[in-house]
Amino acid sequence: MAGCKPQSEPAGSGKKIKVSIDPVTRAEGHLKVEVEVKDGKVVDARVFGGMYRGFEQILKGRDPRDASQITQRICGVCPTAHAQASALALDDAFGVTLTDNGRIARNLILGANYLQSHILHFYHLAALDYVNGPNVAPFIPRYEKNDIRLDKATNAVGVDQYLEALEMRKICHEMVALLGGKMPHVSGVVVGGTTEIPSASILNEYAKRFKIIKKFVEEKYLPLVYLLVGPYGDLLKCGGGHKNLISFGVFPMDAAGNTLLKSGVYTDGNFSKFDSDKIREYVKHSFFDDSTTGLNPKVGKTQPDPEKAGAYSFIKAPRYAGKPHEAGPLARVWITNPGLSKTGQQALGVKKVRDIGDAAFSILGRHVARAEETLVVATAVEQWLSEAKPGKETLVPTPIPKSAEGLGLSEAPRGALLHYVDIKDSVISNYQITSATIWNANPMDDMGQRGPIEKALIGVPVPDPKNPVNVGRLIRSFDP
Amino acid sequence: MKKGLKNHPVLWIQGQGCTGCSVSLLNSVEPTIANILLKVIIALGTCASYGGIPAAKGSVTGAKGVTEIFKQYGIKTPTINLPGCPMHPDWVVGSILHLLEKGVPELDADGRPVLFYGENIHENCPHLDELDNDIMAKTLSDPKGCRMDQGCAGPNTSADCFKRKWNSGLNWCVDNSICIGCVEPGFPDASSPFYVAK
Repeated sequence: MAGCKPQSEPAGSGKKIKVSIDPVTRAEGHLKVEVEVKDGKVVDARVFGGMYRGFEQILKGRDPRDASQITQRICGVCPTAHAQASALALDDAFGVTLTDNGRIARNLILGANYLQSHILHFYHLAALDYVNGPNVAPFIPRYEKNDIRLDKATNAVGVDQYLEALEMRKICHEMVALLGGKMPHVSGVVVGGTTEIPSASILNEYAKRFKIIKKFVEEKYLPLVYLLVGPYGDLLKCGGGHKNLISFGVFPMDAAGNTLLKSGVYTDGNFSKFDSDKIREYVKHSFFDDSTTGLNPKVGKTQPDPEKAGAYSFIKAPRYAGKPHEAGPLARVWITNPGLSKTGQQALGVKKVRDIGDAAFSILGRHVARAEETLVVATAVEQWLSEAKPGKETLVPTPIPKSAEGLGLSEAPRGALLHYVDIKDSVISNYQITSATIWNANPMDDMGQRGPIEKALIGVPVPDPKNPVNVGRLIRSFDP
Repeated sequence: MKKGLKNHPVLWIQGQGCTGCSVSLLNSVEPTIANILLKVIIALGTCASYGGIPAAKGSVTGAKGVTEIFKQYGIKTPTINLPGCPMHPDWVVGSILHLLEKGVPELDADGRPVLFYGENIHENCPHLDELDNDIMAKTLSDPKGCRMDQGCAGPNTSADCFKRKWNSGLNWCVDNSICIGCVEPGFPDASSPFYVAK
């Protein structure tokens, strides 16, 4: 792994050893992490977000409708999530209610990309933490002692599936493109709905591909994840972090806004209803002007201050009711609590997600949550396919309001996603985005609380600081 | 970087991009990427080619495309621009094959291979006949008609999307909605606002 620079202190000496991983590879974006290891465990951790692009400044003064195109370019792995959140914010501001077919078409676009993103994450970003790739580039160089515990035959199955999954994720993109125009970055999600009225033949093409994906999820992805539980069982016992969770809810099931994966908050063991007014973004340790700290995104400001003393990340630190919360598949399935897959029930001997208990809050628990969620989404895709009406309108054209504000709450595959738009004189006067990874990879806040990944790193075993395998495993379990 | 090149035939550098171009390349059907010796710099996507969205109006980061940076530092390594937001996987694989088999492909004034970016979208659009018969799309979801009233940037955009299409040839922006001109040096400001007739 590039950039890993451990100091050559033996473990267990009682001394603190600093380990820096820069960049963290096999992550969706740009990330650096520094941990301090003492007696074989992480005792301190800092996560650095080193890139700033300034989308919020770039959006100012533009036609509001352009936001659903421009914000997709935040992330090429989950552009459909930004398209969805942006379109929801604009729907809100424009005062438009979608047709049923428009809502369903958006779900089919976003749903196909959920399948793509989760498959890509597990196989192409995370799996090499558990499976040895062939001894050729790009699978080498890797850690000399990378703690791979699979026998030869099982490892070969993993490598075969890694390659098969490349094809699977491509097929998912084809499903997105059938309704969204192209992928990455769809042309088809706009304020008021979608632009492609599904024909019977488009839906048929989508369904044909979907069958292949559902089979892969049920017969390959889920079993492989649960197969890891045996040899890597200790990874169900570490990396829990704050154990606070947040979900904005995603995949509207009706015009009232009820969602397939529910919105909600889980704090210190208690569930509560989500209220966007309770979000504050702190910047004491972020490269943003101190005067902008503690603001709700609706009145949020994004003023970079790249030389700020004491700051170490371009990521703001969002808090809900003053506390850090983890976002992502674990949050969504814990809050929604669906039944487990048959494979999951057999492997764990329990029926529903919350029955997994504390083990869900762990490195492997997050992979289990992601795989289970993939099946929940796949099952819903099947339902939406049966509900979509060929030839029925998907778009409600609506003029740009002179003055309005809109809030778009959704979920990217990797976590809770908020878009806020303020329109004045029919152009964007303020646009704020709190994206998924911001919830997880953020730095310490003004109150001295670590971000969720930072907190989850504390206590993670690093018996050999020259090969900090579990640090990478922990970070990737969040799909940053 | 020199040290890296000793061990690796290809260096894939991601600047202010969004990973979309990397993910798009994964959609390549045939052939797959292997054993490529780097003799030129390939700027993948509109960000690397011309700055793209990170360099759009309002940007505070000073983001720039590779050609501009090379000019600034007097770097003479030849550059091939493969813009697109993201670029099509075929444009990358095809350009690399051309490099290996026949050398640097013929480039247009904006450094793009004529092979992929040599034809105007509008002039080759399947909806051109409809324009000639005054059939114009009335909304973004109207399957019929020329999209120019909806803001289509096809007339100012050159790329072979109209015949290559996207994601294994299944669809493309103009049939789905409109072209927003994502392969052009001025993207996004030259075509934004996207949904207003140009």
